[in-house]
Amino acid sequence: MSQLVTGAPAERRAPGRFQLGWDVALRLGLLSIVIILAIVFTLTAPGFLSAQNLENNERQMAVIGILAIGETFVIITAGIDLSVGSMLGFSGILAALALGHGMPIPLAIVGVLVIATLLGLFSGVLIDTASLPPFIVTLGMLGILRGFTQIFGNGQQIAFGNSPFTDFAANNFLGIPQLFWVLVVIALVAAYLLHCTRRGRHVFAIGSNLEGARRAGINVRAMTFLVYGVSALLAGIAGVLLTARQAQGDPNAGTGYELDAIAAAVLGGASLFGARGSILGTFLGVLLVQILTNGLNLLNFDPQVARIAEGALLILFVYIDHWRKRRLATA
Amino acid sequence: MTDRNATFNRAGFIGLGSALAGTAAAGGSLLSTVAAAAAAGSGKSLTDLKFLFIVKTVNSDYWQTCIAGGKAAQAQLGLKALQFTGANSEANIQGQIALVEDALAKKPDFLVLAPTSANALDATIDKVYKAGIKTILIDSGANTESFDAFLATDNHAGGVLAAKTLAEAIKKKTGAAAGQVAYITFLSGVGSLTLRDQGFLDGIKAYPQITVVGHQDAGGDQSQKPISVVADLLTRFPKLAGVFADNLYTLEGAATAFRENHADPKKISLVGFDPSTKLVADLKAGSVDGIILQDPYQMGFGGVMYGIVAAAGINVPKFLNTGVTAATPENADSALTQALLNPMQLRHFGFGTA
Repeated sequence: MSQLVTGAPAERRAPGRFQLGWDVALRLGLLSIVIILAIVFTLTAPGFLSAQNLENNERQMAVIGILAIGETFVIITAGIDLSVGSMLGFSGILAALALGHGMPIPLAIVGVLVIATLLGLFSGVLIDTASLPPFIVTLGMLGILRGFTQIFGNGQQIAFGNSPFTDFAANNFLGIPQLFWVLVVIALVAAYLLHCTRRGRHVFAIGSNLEGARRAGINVRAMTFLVYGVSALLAGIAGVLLTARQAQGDPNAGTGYELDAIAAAVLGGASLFGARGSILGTFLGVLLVQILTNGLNLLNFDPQVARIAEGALLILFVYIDHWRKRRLATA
Repeated sequence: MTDRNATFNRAGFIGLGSALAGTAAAGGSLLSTVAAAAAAGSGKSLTDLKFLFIVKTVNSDYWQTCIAGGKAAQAQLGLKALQFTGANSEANIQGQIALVEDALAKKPDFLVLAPTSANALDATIDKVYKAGIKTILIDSGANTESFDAFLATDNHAGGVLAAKTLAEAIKKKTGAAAGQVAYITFLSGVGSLTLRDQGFLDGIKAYPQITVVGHQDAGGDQSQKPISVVADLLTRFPKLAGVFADNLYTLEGAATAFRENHADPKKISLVGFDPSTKLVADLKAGSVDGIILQDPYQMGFGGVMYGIVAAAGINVPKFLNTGVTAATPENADSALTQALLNPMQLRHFGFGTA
């Protein structure tokens, strides 16, 4: 995308009608695939529309959904955060250890999230101040955090037996799993920040044209810290929630989840070249993968079939996007 | 509920092991005999024997217990271990091959190895064996004859025991060993898991009123996927009477899925392989009906003992079944179950009253 935007980043505020039309069309395309899948599975898969199955789907998409929202912020700046899966595991183990040592629940949660955010800011410092590529910095953090996670957990699962904490993950509020409520609240706040505030537009501006954004007076450094901080904070929240869900800290939790989060964001229309992406799109991306996996499971397909379908959809969507881009370039 | 055959093997072997260890402490004559034999075999005294101990990964409860067994043997006999190590994950085959090749360069008297792959390590194991290093395989086999002894769980027997435990739990709850059951594989194509699943299917045939209706594969994911696949099974088969999970991660995922789906523990039963602190709590609370326990401590301790004996030039039996035991809510506090659950604290060996 970046090569297409020649003027000041402020131009991004008013995208051309053609481009806006395509963004909406792709989003609607995603939504209609989700709806079509839901209808097909309702008709064919036993129990798909049962209240219990809907609850299961909501619960299952919470952790990946939260990770993918954080990843969306980073991807829009044309960056990438490969450390979110390890950050999830790291935060989860820290929470389990803190609770196991009798720390009060609110203190443990806040402490873990502060540590996660600081580590995210540290990645931001390396990327901005030391001018290292995000891919390398977060790949390094992926290994470092996983290593510490294994050391802290001594390679073992950490049980703690804290019932209000684990109940939170198992219980519902107004008939909807509390885990899903957390995802919904985070998605709404993230959508507001990204799409309705000046700072949100700065995130897009950086992804569109870094140098242009700098010249337009945007504090690129602060924004870089912000997006990696947000990504790490959300990975921390996802880790705490997964620990609550599993009623124990698992040093292997979140392995490979960074790729699932990136795939969901890209399915939802985020571009790895920056400046494009939305919270709604990412949410739909996560929902699509979740429904696909669940429905195929209920139909007794090999779970690997869902992975194949997910990969094929990813390539198809990006292909359509690139085709659009070529048309835009020649228009 | 201990597998009889395993108990016999274990008792026989441990007789030798404790005799060795006991005499080591007392400085008795048996030790000097073995030491002399070792000297004759390798030109070294017992305490000079060097060995390497390589498990699949150090990042797990199971392998930590196994290493603890090996270290207990080493410490009591005053042996020089060169290294207790493993790769960073059970999937890192190349990492383990590198470790074994490094081991070869260190010229130990014997190697205790849990091969990550049944095929990929064959050539490397052949090299070690041909270099005159006594080779003791533990936990998982390899498709080669180049080893002196193999100490492992009989996974098929473990699967059969799981089927029996599940059927009994169902009978206790519903009055008859009847109904629909399903089973969860952690990852298709892993030898030990395939044997457990086959054992389960073979064992369940003894209960003609039980039908296996579902099978899911968690795709090797260690956290969320096992929860999802079990939740989906519960949706698909609302009348399910029981679930068998073939390893730690699938059993934990199943326990979480049961909790989240408000599955009634009075109606549906859950049995699976390998314990964790949380699963033992679930077992005592009655939300898990059976945990099939292996004896990784035994594999570690026995692996070192067999290594010493083999290094002394004594032909050791090629296969040792370290046994499987079913822990149930009823026997959770028994001496045997407790010893297997807490091998590092309570070192009773796994024979005696279940």
